[in-house]
Amino acid sequence: MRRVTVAVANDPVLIRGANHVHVLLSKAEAFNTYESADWRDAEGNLYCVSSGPWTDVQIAGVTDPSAFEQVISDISEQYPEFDFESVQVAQAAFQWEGPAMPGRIAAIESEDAHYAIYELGLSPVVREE
Amino acid sequence: MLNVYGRPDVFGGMLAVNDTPVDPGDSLMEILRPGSVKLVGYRAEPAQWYQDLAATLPVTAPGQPIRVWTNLEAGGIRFIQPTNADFAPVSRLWPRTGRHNLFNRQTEVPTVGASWGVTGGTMVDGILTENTASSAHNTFALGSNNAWSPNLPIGVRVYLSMWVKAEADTTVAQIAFGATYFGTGSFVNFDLVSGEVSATGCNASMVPEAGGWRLKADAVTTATAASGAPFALCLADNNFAAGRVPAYAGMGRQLEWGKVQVALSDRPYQNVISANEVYQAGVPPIWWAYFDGVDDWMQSETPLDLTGSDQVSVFAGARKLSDAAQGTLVEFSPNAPLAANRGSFLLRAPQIPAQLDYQFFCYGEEGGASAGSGSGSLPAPDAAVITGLGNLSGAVSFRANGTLRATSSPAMGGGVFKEDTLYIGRRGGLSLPLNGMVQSLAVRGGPIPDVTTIEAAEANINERLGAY
Repeated sequence: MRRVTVAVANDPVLIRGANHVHVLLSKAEAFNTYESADWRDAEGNLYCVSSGPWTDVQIAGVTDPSAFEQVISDISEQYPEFDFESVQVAQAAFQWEGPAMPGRIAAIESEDAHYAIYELGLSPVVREE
Repeated sequence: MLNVYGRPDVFGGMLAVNDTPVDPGDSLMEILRPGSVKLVGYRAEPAQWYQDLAATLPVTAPGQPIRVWTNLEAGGIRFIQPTNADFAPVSRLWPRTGRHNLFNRQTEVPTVGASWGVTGGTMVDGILTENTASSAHNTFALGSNNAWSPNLPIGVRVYLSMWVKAEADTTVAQIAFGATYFGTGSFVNFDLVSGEVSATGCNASMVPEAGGWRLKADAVTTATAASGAPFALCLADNNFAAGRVPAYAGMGRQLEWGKVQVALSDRPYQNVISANEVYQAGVPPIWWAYFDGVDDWMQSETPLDLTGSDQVSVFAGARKLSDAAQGTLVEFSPNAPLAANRGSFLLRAPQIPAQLDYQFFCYGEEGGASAGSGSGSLPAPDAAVITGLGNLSGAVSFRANGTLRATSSPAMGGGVFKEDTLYIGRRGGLSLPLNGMVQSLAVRGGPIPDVTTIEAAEANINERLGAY
């Protein structure tokens, strides 16, 4: 497994699609990977970020539309509300390089999540409680 | 056969059933059980972890996700990551006192790339060439304000080692330790012809290597800098007696360099080949649950019932990796408002990023109280044994590394602790993520134990952690 850190621009369509992709990749059982835009770029644009271990199959499949064909067929019964169009939008917006940009889902592979976030050009939105 | 702690390896024989781990001998649970009304305990060990929520796939190696973390006692409340593999912490195997190479996954700092900045020169294929006659200090410096810059804490000895070879009329090279971290008095001049060393405010040496020289220098940080290069390699105008900022006269000199290594504290260089190749002579590795400071968290599978007590004791062995943002080590509540937090506690790492601290809070019927390690007391990265002691009808105390650090006793209004979900790594699974690692955790409801028992529990955790 390799650590992948993903930044999703704060766009409801991209966020919805990225959450669906995570379920399709069997990385999540719920559409909750991206919920809070806690990171920002130098221009102040907001992003949702996830970071975690990915398998080689997940890394190869995330941008491959054909990788999900069988899974989507299987998953339709489990998730009647599944939004296939948003998956296509997310896969088209996905790029294996930084920086994070509006309209893009940017991902970087690095053992250190915070190095990846630096490479993505992001810093945390400070919300101290 | 001895385990990594130098004790008989009884785990192998006793952990045939993975969800009934038994801690040998000097058990944290055995120390804390007398007088408790509720006790849960967790230790970072593969035998207590599963990669899947169904608990069918054990953690067997570093880097694997932890979806289930079993209690030290069979049948005790487990921690789970209920919905998302990306939210799961991952297993890590590090030397117990920490990993001393600043740079993940490599023995050498890259000598080209975005991590570096050049002043008054160019850097091509490992060749530093001066090209600006007006510059007083042509350097190639480890860049500041980037991920390679470690934000070094005060009082840490930093070791540098690099290979250099004189090219194009260069006879003297200088390593200047960054003024923002080390002050302006730490630098060393190396005569690349004679092998002579002139060190000011630091230790230094040079030996021939591969047609050039292996230069070594070390110095102690005097400030925690938010910016500024930790060190720079300088072309010193071929003036061996030059000061820290050498006079500059010409241009065109060149210096080839590479194989740069940086290490922290009074230890030899650690040969970190990969993220998991962390073994070091004399420093046993231990397992950690690593929370990435982005989205990792776990929660108790069922609510923890502490309604039988107005007192709680929380023990943790942890390694805080960053002070950049507020982090949640453990929290007995999903949310912040006091109205919902009556009878709760939380432990932050850090609470106030600028203060580089830990802090423990308790909330009674009418208000909260907190006690912490104090400003600047435990800067990341640092392993620590942390203890929070709370009495809703009395005081809140904070201990670190076996020593009482603070006690606070504002009126909290009494009451008892509640029954609620216990979170680690993130407040309510939503905010304030911990960038750090957890090795041990115990929560004990019931009268706060006596000092002898507290110290025994802390020593038990520290036996693995090596924090003090």
